[in-house]
Amino acid sequence: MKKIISLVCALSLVLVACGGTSNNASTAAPATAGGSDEPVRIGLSVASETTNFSQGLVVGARMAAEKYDVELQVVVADMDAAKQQQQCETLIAQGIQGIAISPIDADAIGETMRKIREADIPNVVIDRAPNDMTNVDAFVAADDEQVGEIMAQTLVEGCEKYGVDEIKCIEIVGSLKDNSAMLKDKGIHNVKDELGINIVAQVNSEWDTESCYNRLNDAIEACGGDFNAIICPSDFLINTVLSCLEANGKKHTLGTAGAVIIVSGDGAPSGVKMVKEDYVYATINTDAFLYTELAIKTLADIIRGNELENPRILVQALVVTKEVAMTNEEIWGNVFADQA
Amino acid sequence: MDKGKSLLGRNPTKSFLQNNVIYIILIGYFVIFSFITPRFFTISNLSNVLRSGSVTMLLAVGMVFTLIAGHIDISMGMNMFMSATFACFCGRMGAPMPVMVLGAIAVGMLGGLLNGLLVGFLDTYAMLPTMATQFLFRSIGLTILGKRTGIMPADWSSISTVKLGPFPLFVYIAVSLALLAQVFLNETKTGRRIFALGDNQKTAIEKGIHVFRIKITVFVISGFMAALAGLVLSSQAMEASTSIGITSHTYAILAAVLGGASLHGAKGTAFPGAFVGAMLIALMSNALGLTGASPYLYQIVYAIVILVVYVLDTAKHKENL
Amino acid sequence: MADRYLEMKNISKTYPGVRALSGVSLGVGEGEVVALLGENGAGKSTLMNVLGGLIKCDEGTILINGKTVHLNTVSDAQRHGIAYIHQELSLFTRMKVYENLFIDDMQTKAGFPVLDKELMVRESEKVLKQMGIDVPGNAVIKDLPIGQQQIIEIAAAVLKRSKIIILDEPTTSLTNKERDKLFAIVEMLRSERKCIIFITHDLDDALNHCDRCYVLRNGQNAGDDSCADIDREGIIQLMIGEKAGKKFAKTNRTILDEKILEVKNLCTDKVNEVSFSLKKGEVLGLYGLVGSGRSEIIHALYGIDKIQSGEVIVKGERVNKASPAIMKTKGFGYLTENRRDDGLFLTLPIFTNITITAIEKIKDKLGLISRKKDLWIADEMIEKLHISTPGNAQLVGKLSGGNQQKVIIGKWLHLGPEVFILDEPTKGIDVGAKKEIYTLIDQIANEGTSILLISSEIEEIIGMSDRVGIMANGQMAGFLENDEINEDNIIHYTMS
Repeated sequence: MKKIISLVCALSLVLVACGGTSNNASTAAPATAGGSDEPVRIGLSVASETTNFSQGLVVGARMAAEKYDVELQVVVADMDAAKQQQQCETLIAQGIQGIAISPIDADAIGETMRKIREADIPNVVIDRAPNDMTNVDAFVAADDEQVGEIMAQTLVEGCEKYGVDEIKCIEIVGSLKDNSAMLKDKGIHNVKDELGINIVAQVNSEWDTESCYNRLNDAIEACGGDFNAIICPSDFLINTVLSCLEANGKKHTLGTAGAVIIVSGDGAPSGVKMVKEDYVYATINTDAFLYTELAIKTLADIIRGNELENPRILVQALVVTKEVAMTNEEIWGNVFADQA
Repeated sequence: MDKGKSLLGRNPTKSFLQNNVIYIILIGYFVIFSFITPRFFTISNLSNVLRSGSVTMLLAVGMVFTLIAGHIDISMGMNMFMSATFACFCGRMGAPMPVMVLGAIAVGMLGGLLNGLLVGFLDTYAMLPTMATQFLFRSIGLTILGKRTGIMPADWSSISTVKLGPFPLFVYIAVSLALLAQVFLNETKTGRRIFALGDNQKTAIEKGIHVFRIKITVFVISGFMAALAGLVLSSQAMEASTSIGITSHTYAILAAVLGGASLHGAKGTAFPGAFVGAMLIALMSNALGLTGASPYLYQIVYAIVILVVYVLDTAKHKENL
Repeated sequence: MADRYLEMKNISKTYPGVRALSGVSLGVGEGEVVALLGENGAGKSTLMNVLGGLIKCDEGTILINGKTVHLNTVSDAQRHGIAYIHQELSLFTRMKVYENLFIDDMQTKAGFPVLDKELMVRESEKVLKQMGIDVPGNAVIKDLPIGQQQIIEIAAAVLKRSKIIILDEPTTSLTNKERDKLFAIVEMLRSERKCIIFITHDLDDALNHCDRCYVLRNGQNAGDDSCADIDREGIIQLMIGEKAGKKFAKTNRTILDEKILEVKNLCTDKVNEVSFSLKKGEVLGLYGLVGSGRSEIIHALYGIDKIQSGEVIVKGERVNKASPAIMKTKGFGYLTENRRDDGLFLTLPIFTNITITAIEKIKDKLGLISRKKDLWIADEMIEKLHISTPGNAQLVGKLSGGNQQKVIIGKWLHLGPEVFILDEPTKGIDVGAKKEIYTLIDQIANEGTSILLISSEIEEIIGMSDRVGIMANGQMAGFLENDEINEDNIIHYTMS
């Protein structure tokens, strides 16, 4: 008897769970009928609150929320893909009308996208492309592959400027599991030969400062200290890279003997600061503010009944060399300067 | 039935091999890689190995204490993070570096104290309590950071860059601490009591040992070590990075067990055990990095080593029952 | 009568629903060895737990050297010089001898907080030499035989200058040599004017080595007497409250000639050229001292030890590959020597333990376990074997030794085995329960099951067996039948 009751309970729980989600979908739908004078409710899911990039996303979103009359709800997942999924589901249950996501894991986010699609909520994905794009309404990002190419070209510029003839570069890769990092890597490799960049060593940082530090040390050892350039995928790692160089006695300002030409990515406050201090030649700014501003704007438009023009929204990369850093006050690296 | 063992009946070669597997692997490593690449046996490369190994060793020493006592500390990584964030906080408030260092250590030890109290009052195996505090410490750390990054002041880099001769200063400090810890474990009353607790808590209580106090002691020491490791890592990254400590406890356990500690308690050494275990892990990573091996190999190599070590440890334990 | 060194007067202890002790008194003088006897549940452990400071008595007084003492905690008891050596040894098995002896009194070098290991090792070896064993102070406990481990525990008590030493069933797992050593130590302690309390089930040990016997029954004093003035019968009578009667004698039964089990020239690395046969419906007793190889024959039968040469034939068919599972399908049941370690799931209830051998029998139509069938079989066994328990869901770990043994018998019995191998079935079981088990085994044999009884108690073998085989030094020394079965003949073969 007990067995039968347990079986029945288990089955009913499963049914309720299934039924529950479809119920949510039906309650969410009527909300979209609102006119353009009502604030629209949009949820934003970011990976962390303590990296420059994520902070930039949030600030950009808040600015856009004011501009486009949006009620914004932000959830922070602290580098945990499962948590991000849970938080998104909560947002759906709370009846948001649109959702913008900066995914932590390109694989894991697929399930979340499916649920969002089931709930019939317009969505925009930011920065990192899910491996399965079928449920994505719009995607806002820089063209990572193009960014990679730009990084390589910028490196060549910097080397020419500071008298480095033969480029021996250590390339730091973000993570093998990260689609956008791999695209950057591809971009670099697309052009390295024609640009004459010799990659003497590759470092897999796994987006972890400790691993980056140790493996960069190993890479420097492996090439016998014979390198003069570094491509760093994100300003998240720039302090680690510089610290490692310092420990190896290779941290010099550009223009001094033995200086290493460094090109970094993101355009975050920490990177911009190092550019201003002449330790880094340039950082490729992919404006965090702009990401979310575009995302929020697009969502607000869709919810208010307008058609989506282009599902692939490109964020232009901006090369931030010292001149740009000193003069352009609008880039988020400068707006957020106190975070460096 | 007579449970006695005839020591004569045991194969002495097999015994020697079993007990000294780690050293054999270590020597083998050195020999093999010295041949594979000339860059291996250089001062600067060995310095790098000592550098990354010392961080793991600090954590492993802390882990050895809790393991010997028959417990474990899963929260070490996050305690490390929490301590580093507090140092950052002190720095933001304008405190000088020594105060930041002391602040971090104090927070690490408080975290350890919490672990000790939980394990003591609940009187259960520490795995679940320290898993819980792991999340707590991370939350506290993130809260301390607020919505700002954990960037450290410029002079913070000296912790990891100042050298004494060919090697970084903190390496000497770490190794000295390991030696000190070993003396403490082997030559003091409290040290022996830690072993007793790990061997048999019931008997320890019967013999009048204050097991509650011992538990507090080992976890506070573990927290202290975590804080020190956090100082070094945050100095290397120049920020209390949110990536600090996420997998640290795994390597700490691995290093401790490679060095002879047992997950069943009452066994383990800080020196040479934790030192050798940590260096072996650092050497594995170093070798992969030096030879430019595929990055996917890291995980496979670690997995194999973990399995081998676990199988050996369990086999030894079964034999000894 | 003047107070002796230790006087326990009118001790009472009540647990909810059970009066564990009512007005029990016990006294031990200096240099006296007292045996504390009684069936399981009589109150021996409870009384000693009071003395050891593990539990507090509700009423009564304890006087040591004329002064009333309050033993509320173990440390109180230890401070008054009481040492309780439990049956499960209280040692740190992975630590060294000197660490065990000095863990609560570690010696440091002058001035420094550093341990003086050389001193502790020396002192340990000295004390152990006094007790007649030569053990390096640095040896690890688990590498030493149980006999030595026990002596080390007693040594710890001696080092602490304990005056009152309680030994709880110390001889159960010892070889003969080790027992002799133990009693030599008891003598030594006696000469040092210590008070010794010996809890035991072995009446011979009590009579031969103790000065006085105290017998408890149902939580009360059943009587006490000087060991010189009482004999086995007398003690048993006090323990079970009735005339013990004759020793157990099996019923006469008809045995067929059909050989259900044949072992021919069996050789393993522990036994040599062992041959015997077991007839259907017979009880074959295998006698031998500890270490003579009796259990090892069974290990070989079950495939646990490798058979080097020889044959095993069951019901006329040769057994090529043996394993416990295969033997079970051939209709064998096996009651192992260590019931706690090998025979039972102590944390599980009776019914689970009993039906674990036949899960197929208790499945229902869906293929899931039918609780009804499970309990039914268990209840059947409980009744048939007279297992004393509050219910079929009682956790086996809480039963007395005798009842645990019955559970194991029940585990095999409901399968209706053709051969039942019993290895030391009454080890560590009190006299009353022993008799019950004998009756049970006899009954099972009468119902047609063949029994292979392994025992090191001569009287048990004589009382139960139709035929006796004697093992010595890994070999079959001889066989005895009918009138040949007596103590002299058995000893004769044992010595050969």
